[in-house]
Amino acid sequence: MSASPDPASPENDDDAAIALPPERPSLWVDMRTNEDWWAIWCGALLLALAFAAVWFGRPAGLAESVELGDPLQVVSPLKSYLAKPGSWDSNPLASLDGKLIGIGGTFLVLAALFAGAMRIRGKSVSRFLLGFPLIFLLAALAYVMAGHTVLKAYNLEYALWALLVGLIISNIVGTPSFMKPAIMTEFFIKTGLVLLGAEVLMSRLLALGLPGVFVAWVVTPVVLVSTYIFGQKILKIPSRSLNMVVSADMSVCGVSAAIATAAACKAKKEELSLAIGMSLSFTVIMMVVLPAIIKATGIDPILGGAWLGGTIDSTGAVAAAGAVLGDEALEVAATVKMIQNILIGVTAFCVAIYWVTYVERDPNGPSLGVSEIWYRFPKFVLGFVAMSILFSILYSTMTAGPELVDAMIKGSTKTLRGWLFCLAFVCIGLETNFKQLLPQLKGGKPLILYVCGQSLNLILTLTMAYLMFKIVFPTSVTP
Amino acid sequence: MRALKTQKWLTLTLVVTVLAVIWLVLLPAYARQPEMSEHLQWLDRQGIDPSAMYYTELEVMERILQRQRTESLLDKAKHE
Repeated sequence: MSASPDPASPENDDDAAIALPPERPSLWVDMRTNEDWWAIWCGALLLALAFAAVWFGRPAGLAESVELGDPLQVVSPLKSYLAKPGSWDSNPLASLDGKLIGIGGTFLVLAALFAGAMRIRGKSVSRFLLGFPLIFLLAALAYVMAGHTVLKAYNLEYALWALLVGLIISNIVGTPSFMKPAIMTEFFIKTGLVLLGAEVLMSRLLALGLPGVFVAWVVTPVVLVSTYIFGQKILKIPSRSLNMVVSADMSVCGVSAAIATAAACKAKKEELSLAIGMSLSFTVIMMVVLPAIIKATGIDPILGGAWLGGTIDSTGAVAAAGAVLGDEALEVAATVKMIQNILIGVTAFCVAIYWVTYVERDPNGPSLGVSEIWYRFPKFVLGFVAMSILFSILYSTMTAGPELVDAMIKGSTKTLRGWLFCLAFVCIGLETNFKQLLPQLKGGKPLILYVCGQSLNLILTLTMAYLMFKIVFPTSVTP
Repeated sequence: MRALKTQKWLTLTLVVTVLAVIWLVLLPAYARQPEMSEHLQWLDRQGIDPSAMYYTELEVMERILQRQRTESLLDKAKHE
């Protein structure tokens, strides 16, 4: 999904003899023009402003209250100015109750941010501003559609409806040309991922001690790598990126992992759509079937919770399934999933490295040098990882770090990140033809890949959870 | 050409109508079914949004983390 430059491809041998590789921009020029770098600048600016707002708006006596063990509540001053449509059950207008100022504020922030970026990058601001309001309105519509309580209960996330809204327009009447300058799928996704980096807090890794780490951080990479190899060697899936995105969304944590991995391995938009569609469909089944199996077989809630947390793709669905088994299962399931969520950063980084050093390399050519790897590396991943490290440090080392970082995420960046992903999925729909989606399903290979990978995931996670929570550390989580 | 354009807009109108019926009639009716309504209220009480994409979007996770934080702060205060 990235727009990384490709090496020149000479048309014939004579040309090849005299063709010189295109001159590469200096780092400074790259930083001023490349979309990846701009995603980092935009994400970092939003995070800096969001954190500054929380810092300057923090209540007096916060540090003292933390020392006394009863921290004061911190609320971001930006909270009421940034919002998304809420949930509703009979009247869709209820989803906008008290949210219009926040939705308008979000529109203004994003329009100003991207218009500024377009201006500095030498692109037409007026053409962007002409198309952006309609794309934002479509994203708002997708949010309202996703806000119906029944759809939420079945884990049918906004990504699906944003995609649907875009697909309907592009495939029936065609995407109007005035919208096209504002269709910036990759820019929205990469900026959203830099914001997501601030939510990947490493200190939460040990929330369940070693058993949680083993279930979420040992089984998950094993399943990811095994599924990818299975797809390549046994199923012979032609698209490596589709193979990787399906493996990541199935083994890590559904839609968010699919977005990050797709961006890291430059997957096609249709591949991301397909992976997300499959993940959401299987999640609906698993969130109903797995708790029933656990109840029927008498697996205890802690083990059952760990199993749910390590296998069901979507974070919300894990909590819903865990709650069916009781409070202990809910807590273990949600915490295992949270630990797995944190794996997104590492996954995106490793996939990006693997892609530039192995997949994109000419198999007959020499191995790549460091400068070539750096040139090809999707730079926004660095922003994603850097924000994760920075906010993990702030969270762990500052007095009241958890209160401040949580207030920033809850009051502003989480909302902005959601809007950016929603805008990106509307854009994917607006750029996708139904006919482009069908070949991806050829021979049902992605489906077989998902089913086989998920089966392995179910077996390995249950085995590891049993070993960790029942044999090696039986008292780590007590009922 | 004009006929094609008209056909496209008619198709769009039809699709939008179908979606409107699903979202404005069928889904609300389903949400009112006693069993579904009870399930939705239970999710709400638990602070669970099954469509949450990331742990920071889960109210229940917030409560769990807040409890863990309070426990660790109290432990720390006791030791000091």
